[in-house]
Amino acid sequence: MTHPVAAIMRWEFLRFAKLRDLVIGAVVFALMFGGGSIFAEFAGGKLTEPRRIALVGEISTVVDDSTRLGRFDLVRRSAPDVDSLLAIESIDAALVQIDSDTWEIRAARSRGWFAQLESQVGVLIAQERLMQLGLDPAQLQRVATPAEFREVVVDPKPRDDGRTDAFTAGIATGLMMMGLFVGFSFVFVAITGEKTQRTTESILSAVTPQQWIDGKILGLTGAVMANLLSTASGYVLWQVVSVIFFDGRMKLPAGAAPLDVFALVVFALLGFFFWFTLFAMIAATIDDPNSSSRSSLMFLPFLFIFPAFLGLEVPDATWMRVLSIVPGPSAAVMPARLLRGEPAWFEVVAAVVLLAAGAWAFRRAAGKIFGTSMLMTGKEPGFGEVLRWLREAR
Amino acid sequence: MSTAFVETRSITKRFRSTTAVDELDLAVQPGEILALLGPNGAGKTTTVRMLVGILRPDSGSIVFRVDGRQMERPAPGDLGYLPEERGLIRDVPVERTLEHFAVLRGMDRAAARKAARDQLERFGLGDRGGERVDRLSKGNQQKVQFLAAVLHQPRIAVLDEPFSGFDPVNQQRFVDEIRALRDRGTTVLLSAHQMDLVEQLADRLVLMDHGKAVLQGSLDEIRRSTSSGSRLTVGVREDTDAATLATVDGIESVEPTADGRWSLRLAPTIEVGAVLNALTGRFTVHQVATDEERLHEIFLRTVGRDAFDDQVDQEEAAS
Repeated sequence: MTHPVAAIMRWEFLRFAKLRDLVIGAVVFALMFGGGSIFAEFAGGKLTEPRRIALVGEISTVVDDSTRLGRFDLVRRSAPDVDSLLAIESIDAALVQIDSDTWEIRAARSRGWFAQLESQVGVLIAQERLMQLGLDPAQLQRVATPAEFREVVVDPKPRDDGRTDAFTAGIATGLMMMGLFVGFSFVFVAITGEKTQRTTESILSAVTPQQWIDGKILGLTGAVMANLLSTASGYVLWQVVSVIFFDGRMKLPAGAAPLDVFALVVFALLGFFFWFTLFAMIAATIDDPNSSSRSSLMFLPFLFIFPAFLGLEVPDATWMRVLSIVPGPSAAVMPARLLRGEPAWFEVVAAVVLLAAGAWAFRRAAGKIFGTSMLMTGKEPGFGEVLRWLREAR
Repeated sequence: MSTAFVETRSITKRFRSTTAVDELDLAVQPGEILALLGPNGAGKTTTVRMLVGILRPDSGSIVFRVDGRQMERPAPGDLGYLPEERGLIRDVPVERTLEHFAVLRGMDRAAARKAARDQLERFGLGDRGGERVDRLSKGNQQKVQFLAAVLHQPRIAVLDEPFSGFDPVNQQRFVDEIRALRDRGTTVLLSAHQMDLVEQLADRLVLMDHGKAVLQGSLDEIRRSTSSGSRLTVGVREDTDAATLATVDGIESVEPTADGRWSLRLAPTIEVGAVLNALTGRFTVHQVATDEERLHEIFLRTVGRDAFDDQVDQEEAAS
């Protein structure tokens, strides 16, 4: 004989996690990730593409018809041709000398790289002035030679220490956010929908409200995890595609230590259970989701996620340390700290224990509220009434 | 010692200032069909909800006797429940819905699946098991709801308004289904508004009003206990009126029928022959028909016409 909680869990899971939809979801996410990386590659190429600049004026160091200056190709053109060249987009801009101290940049529209052009051409003009002061070519060369700067990045939290880049940590927090949104819709359909469809009485005559809420929340948590797994599969699928077809050029940043992934899954499971029981308690008291002002309360758990995003760059700030052990926000904040910061072991243990205890207390409260409010139709119970049920329920 | 399958002992349920059920004593014998009747607000659905464990009585107790053991609530598999407020999850296939309800009632999944297929076949829905529930007509959804309540072969089936939503043909079919359920050994407690169907079906009746049982027993017992007399329908040649006919000895009340005859309710102690003799002495009687008092008439006399009108309104709304 199947235990009622297991039967309800299975029912809810299969109702919301359909294999075909999950596979389609994985492919869609792979395409989205792929599209994102292709766009980034394309946009990156566009950003470094050389710009053709028509030069109308005297800069003696520009001796050839075409001179490369950083990412700019300077080509000599006559003043009357400039506007027609701009019109046919043969050049990106024109640099026109007005007098000895004034230059004009003419272009079809303002560009972000004008400042870079001004800076680089400014160096040429300065050289021109130095030559006019009578410096010999060697001196001029010495002045014109820029100081060399070498970039040495010392990452205080290198990958092999188990810390994760901001992109991957952002993706992980984003997945929690996505799970919360998906779970929100599942709980809403599973509870207010069932209440509206009047299936409640048939089921409550067979199982206890506590068994019902337990089975529902476990099933919905499983369905959300399956959806997140589908998204993660899309990510992996794109990585494989990028290696096979693009020589890994368009691979997305990746990398979290296995222990971090395990911790993430544990916090996700506990967090979703905690948040969904909160959703369920509110949903059970809603009579008509179309008109109930209480529906907005369902967004409350989303507030728990935002600190995790805000704290990705300051994972061990005091406020992050506090939120990472408070049940509710801890499910999102502690994983962010695990990926980006250095929480103490006892903070992690405290977060898990408090989150589990909070989830347990919430499920008990949700069971009590469920038993009474799921049969109420036509009116919504006040908060005073809900508190009374919690006190009186056996 | 009582042999009742389920017994309520002075159960009371209040909602704020309203007493929905007031010290109700009820006993359902094993293998019988017991019908709960009463006007709106009589406390039938509250009683049913307490019996199936959804509500708890404020005072009093409910006892089930299963295999010689007494318990407050039977095992899920021993109980089948068809609620008044119907509801199935609409976006799930019919067969899976039935399977789920049967598994919640303790059936093995494979057995539940087989039973669902067999019963859908028997109800003419064999080819629709894979369809979503909301693709079925209202009548077919009702059949599925009924199957969800009894697929696991419960020892007691509690059916709240089992005929609502059915056309007359299907109503009659469900009378047969409920009888068949009883014949297979299931005790049935039903609450219904359709008096003619209840008359055909119920072994015993409980008429409730204001949360109390005002009449209990078989239809014959109720007729006797309410001292209701026979009913006589006559056609007379003479032009007469109800007041004149009412002066005949032994006639308690007179109502004209739609076809120009007269419906006479006789005093409980009087013999039909005596009234006929008196009538033929004064009128030329050309048509005579006798009838027992119908359930809805007893109902109407007991709880009053206002309640009856409410009942009619509700039946009309339901249909």
